Amino acid sequence: MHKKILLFNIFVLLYNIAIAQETYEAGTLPKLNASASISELWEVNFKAESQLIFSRGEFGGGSGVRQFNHNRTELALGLERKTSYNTAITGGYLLRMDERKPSHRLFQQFSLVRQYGSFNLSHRFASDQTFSIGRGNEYRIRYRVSTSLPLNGEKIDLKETYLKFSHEYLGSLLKRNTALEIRNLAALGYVTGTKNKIEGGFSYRAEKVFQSITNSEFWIYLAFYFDLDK
Amino acid sequence: MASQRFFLKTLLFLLFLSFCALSAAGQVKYEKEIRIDMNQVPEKALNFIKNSGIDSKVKWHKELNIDNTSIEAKTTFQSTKYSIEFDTLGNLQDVEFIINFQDLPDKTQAKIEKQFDSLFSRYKIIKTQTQFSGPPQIIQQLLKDTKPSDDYITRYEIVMGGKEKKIMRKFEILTNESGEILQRNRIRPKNMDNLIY
Repeated sequence: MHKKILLFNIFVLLYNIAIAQETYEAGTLPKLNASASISELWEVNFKAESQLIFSRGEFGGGSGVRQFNHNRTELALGLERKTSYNTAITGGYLLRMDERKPSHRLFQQFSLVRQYGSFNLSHRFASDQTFSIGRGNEYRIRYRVSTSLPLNGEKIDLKETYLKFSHEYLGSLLKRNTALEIRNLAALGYVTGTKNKIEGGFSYRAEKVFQSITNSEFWIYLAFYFDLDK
Repeated sequence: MASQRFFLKTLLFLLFLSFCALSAAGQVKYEKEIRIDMNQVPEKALNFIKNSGIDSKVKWHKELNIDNTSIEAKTTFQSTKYSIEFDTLGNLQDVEFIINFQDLPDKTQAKIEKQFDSLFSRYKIIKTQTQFSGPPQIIQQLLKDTKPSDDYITRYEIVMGGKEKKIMRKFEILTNESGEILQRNRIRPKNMDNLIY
């Protein structure tokens, strides 16, 4: 399964470089996520995520620009309802701020987490609708598979490190134009003594896959997950 | 420029919160399971494995809880996953191995199902383990698949999802050999936000 995903990503990257006109962006992706339970079934989740670009340009001779540039910041608030001990549905609102006017997004998702021996496997099915003045409304559907596995022992305990991988497909519709985006992440995580998690790693995103002009994004990923239920 | 200032403020806020998270580490008591080398395992525990006829690779773990510490040997022997628990001196506590619920004796299955039906409006069995405890020599005979010469205790540990009061919860159920529930512990789900969001 993992081999197939890796091979597919290499194929997408090679296709983009060889056939399509390829632009790129590289930067860092800091993210903060905090959750707090309201009751046994309900939980509030807050997310803040920014994109800081260090370099952007075109592969194959195009001139690249190395410049510190804040691309965007997103703030999201979601309400989660647990539908079982390992499944949940979430709905929420996201505010996106960039150099243009703010965008407003509604999102919905269903998640399922299963444990297979020492690793956890999560499936996330999501949809969102983004409304912004001057850019048109965008509708997306998403599927993400994520896994985490401990580097010591058979489960991820407090004060332990772990590996995390995720792979996601995003289909979007904007002004009657459809597009496919693929996101990958490989990260090293650490659980603090207070159940919070810190993750650092690399993310590769291929935008407008199989189109004439594609975009590759290379991110240094840094995330903090706060569990406010101690 | 305004958006860059906003970004820097956000970044500083993130760094501040992460510092708080790190500095607060260690304030809470915790459970931990770590892999250990064979040379850290008590001699008594090593001898038990050696004399049990287990010839497959054994992974040793140390489990640190609030109340006690234990040593655990994990192995797959004759296609069955075993977990053999010792105290820190190497004295045998119990042996657990994974089985299918359908492999339990029919009467035991029926009794467990009857109790589950009365406790939960819906349920799903996730994992079933047989648990043997008793004198080490007797447990070794059981592992060697020979008829034990003395008495031992058989229990079943079942991890299951059960719906009660319209909420599907996860439980660890311990039954005796005939299927009578001895213990029911709720397993609180771990925070998986890093996989979901």
